[in-house]
Amino acid sequence: MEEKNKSSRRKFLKLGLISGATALAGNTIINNLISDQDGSGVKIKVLTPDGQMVEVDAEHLNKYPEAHITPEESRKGIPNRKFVMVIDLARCNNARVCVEACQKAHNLDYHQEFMKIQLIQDHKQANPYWFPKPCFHCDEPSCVKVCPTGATFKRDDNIVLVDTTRCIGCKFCITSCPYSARIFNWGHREVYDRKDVKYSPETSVPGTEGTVLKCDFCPDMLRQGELPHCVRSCPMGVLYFGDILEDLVTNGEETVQFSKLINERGGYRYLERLGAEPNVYYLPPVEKQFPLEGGLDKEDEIIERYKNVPYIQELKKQGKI
Amino acid sequence: MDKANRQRELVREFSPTIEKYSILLKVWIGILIAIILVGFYAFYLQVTKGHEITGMRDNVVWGIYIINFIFFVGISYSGAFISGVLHYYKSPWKNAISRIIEIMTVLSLVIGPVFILLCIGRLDRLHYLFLYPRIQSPITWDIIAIMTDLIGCFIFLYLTFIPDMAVLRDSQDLNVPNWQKKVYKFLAFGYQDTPEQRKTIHKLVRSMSIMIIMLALMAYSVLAWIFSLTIQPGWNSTIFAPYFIIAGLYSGVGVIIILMFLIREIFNLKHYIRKIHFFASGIILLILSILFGYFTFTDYFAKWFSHKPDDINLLNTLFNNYFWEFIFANYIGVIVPVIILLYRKFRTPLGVTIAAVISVLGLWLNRYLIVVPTLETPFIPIQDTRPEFLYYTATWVEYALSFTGIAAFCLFFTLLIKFVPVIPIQGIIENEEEAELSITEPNNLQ
Amino acid sequence: MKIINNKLSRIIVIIFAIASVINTYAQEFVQDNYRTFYNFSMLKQDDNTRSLKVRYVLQHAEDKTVEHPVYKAQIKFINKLDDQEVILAEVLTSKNGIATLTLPENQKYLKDKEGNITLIARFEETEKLEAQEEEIMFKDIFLDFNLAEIDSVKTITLNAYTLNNKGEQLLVEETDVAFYIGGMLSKMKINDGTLESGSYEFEYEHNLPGDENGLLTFYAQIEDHEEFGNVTKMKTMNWGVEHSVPKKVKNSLWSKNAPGWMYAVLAFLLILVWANYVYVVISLFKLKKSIKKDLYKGPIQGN
Repeated sequence: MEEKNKSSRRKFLKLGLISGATALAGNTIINNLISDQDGSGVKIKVLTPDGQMVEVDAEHLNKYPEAHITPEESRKGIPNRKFVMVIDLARCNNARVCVEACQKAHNLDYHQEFMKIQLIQDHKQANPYWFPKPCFHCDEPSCVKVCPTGATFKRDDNIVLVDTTRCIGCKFCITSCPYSARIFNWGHREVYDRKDVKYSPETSVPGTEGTVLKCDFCPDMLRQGELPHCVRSCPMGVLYFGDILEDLVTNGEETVQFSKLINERGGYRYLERLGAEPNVYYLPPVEKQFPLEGGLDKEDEIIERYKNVPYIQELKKQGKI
Repeated sequence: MDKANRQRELVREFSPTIEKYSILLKVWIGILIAIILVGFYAFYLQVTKGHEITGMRDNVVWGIYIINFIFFVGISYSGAFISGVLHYYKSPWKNAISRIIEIMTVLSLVIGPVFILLCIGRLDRLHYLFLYPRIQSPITWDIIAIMTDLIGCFIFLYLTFIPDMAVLRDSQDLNVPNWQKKVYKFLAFGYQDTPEQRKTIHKLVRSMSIMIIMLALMAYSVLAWIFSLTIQPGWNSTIFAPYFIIAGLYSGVGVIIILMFLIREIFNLKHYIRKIHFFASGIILLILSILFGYFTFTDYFAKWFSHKPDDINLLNTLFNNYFWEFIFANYIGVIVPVIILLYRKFRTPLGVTIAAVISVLGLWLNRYLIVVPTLETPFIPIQDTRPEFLYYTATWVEYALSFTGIAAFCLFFTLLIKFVPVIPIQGIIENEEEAELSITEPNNLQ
Repeated sequence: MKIINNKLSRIIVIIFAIASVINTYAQEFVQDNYRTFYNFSMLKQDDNTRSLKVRYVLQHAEDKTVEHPVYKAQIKFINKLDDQEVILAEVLTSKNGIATLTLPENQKYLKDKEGNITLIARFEETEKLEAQEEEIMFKDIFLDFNLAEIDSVKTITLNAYTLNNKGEQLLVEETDVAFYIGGMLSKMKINDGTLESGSYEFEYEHNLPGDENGLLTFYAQIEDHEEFGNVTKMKTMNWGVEHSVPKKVKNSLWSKNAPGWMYAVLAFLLILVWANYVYVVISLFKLKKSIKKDLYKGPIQGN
């Protein structure tokens, strides 16, 4: 009896090994069909012609390693360009797709936001409006003034970048920025140990602990003629991006002449009086296309952020949220 | 007066403090070392786990470390200023407290910058400050100022040590280990107290004292500019540099008084640190307290009256979240010392010391109220839900390291006093010689 | 390996084998769960080459954000005339599910009597995927894009013609054209209209600055026309308006090099202070030397 049990157990194990071997062999064949070349670290699921769903490395958007811009090279901007962004406050509906696209592209945590969406109510009689706020890449940046090591710098193409190989984490720039555009890496995160991408200030990936980071206008995308991640992902076409020297801005669908857009729609810069000369222009929230409540359809945690806005307090009192 | 005899007397008087290691002293040093070790552990945690374990977050990125830095460096600069002034003008009663002031100056200038280092995210890259400096940055100016001032204060301190080193070197009664005697000989630099040498030393001290006064003023202005050259509401005030200097002097005089009192009581030096010292420093504290209150009041009054929205947000934060700290720092911290110092009845050594304690605490809180509320009320309101990102609360790590700083200060002070006499012996002798001269030659009063 | 004779064991092996195979193909692909996007597009480019593109992507029927490109699928580009099929090329799709082919200007096509060309992009059926095929029928069109300043009016003209079988030019009628100016990231539409008698003309009224040399790039495009497909023509012209490029700022608070006066003041102050320190140190050493001299002189007089 025992003998039989032993032998059947042995057979059972052998069966397992055999079928395991088959499965393994099958997988190896598939893997040989699809070999990963210079991977981006991002995986996508593709379908092969014989109906197999396989995960491969996405083709690297930045075509590294040839396109790698070192920290020294990143101090010179893209020649003959001066980048500028226009944000149409009449269309923003707090979809937050821009926030998430940026976080995905830059390996950020849920709470780390390069593009912040504020809810601003100018005064009690005013209607509040959603206010996307990236870094303004000012022409007279308060942050660059005060950096003791030159880790943050302004380029000729208007972009202000942070070189986290040089940043010593003194946080003077964070205290200096009047628009609260910068954030700090307070602790270590696993994504900082990524080995598959080389660091470039133009991609801000991978981050480093103890350094400052902020919106970078995605120069890596610009070098390939692509729009920054936030601009291309906005479903409402709120964000326009372009070159002020050629006077054109686009939101991915429509392209308009920048000077005309600003002059016809009354474009302005936020807190102009502070003299930082920002390069992000806003189109006033007149004739808003969507009611504000549409943007409140988000998680409670996000709506809690705006608890100090009088309009939200009113809605809470009325029990609408 | 037989100088040699007098020297011997004085050495005998001061030698117990230098030679003996009483039980109380050992316990005291033990406690200080224990506090410092806790601080080392906290520092180790901060280095390995990152700044996450402090209370600083994306909006209030500067917290207790910077506050301690400003405070310690303020004490140092004020000490430098005061000792510079004292040494420039000959005064017989300056001698008793001059060494205390000078040691305090150097020690707090050594400990202060350590707090800044704690606030820096990447300590492994400190050398970038020297490899890639940007001289447009106020931090670069501050580094240059602190380094220059540190060297200046060391030279100054050393100059005042030389005559006493010579006395201790020559003394036969001093019962200290041989290595210590060798150190005295080395540091005395061959000083023999001839009239020329005495004159040279005095001349050097005097020229350095001018430099020290100038350095102290400039260096503390540079520190104030780190704040006032930004646009932030609450920081971008035109009077910040003079305000910091007054506040620094105020806190420095307060700490000097406390040290004077402690040393007077512990080492029983009532003969040297006399009531007049407390009287005079009390008057100075009174004047500084009134000035400090005046500066603070004008700063906030102008903000409140002109009613700019960013200033009003700041004032709301101050009066809602920090009400009691504000009251203590700017009202109690000013009015109570003024009351104590105004009335002769209260102007005893103990009374003056109590006033000094209140003023020092009030000043630390005043620093806190300068740094933190401004960061909590930026131009674009913080719209966040995480409480640690909305308000700043320091964690045990920061408090532990603060106490470590104070403990380190006390420890080094204690150890230095065991090395040099806390009251310059040479100064005592020179004062007595002057007094004799003025008696024997009454027409040559200076 | 022992031969397994037991019938039961044999069945178990088969079950296991099938199970493991199924397990390997764990994410079993069922075509019905997906919507197929198989798009074939064509563009006649500025240099008269023809670019063919196939995009083959499957979108999950329920979760529309999930998309799976088909990778290494073989797409056959075919030029068809009645029953004749000429294979132009076979291209494998990329990781993004895109297969492209560029045909040169002098490519010979099979044309029907009216001069229409039929191109097919075919994906042959596999075990798991259905066959896909899309066809584009078009006529070759020739564009003549001109920009000129006539009587100090900036005029843009587009002439278009097709060739019939005899090689004669036929003017194009009733065809919509759009005109764009190219920027770094996109193109801005400046005009659109309809070709009448093979020609369309309009005045350029915009005041765009162009690139650093004042050059503007103009595009004339026929888009999604049922007869001609997509055609584009490009031309550059120096009609850029004068604009001042902001001067490069040097030696300011924000640049790498500080303003000159900062260096001067800093140097002055530092020299002042450090000269004093050096003076003190030297004096101390002098003092030490003088002491030694005094010692040799003799005992000290006085106190």
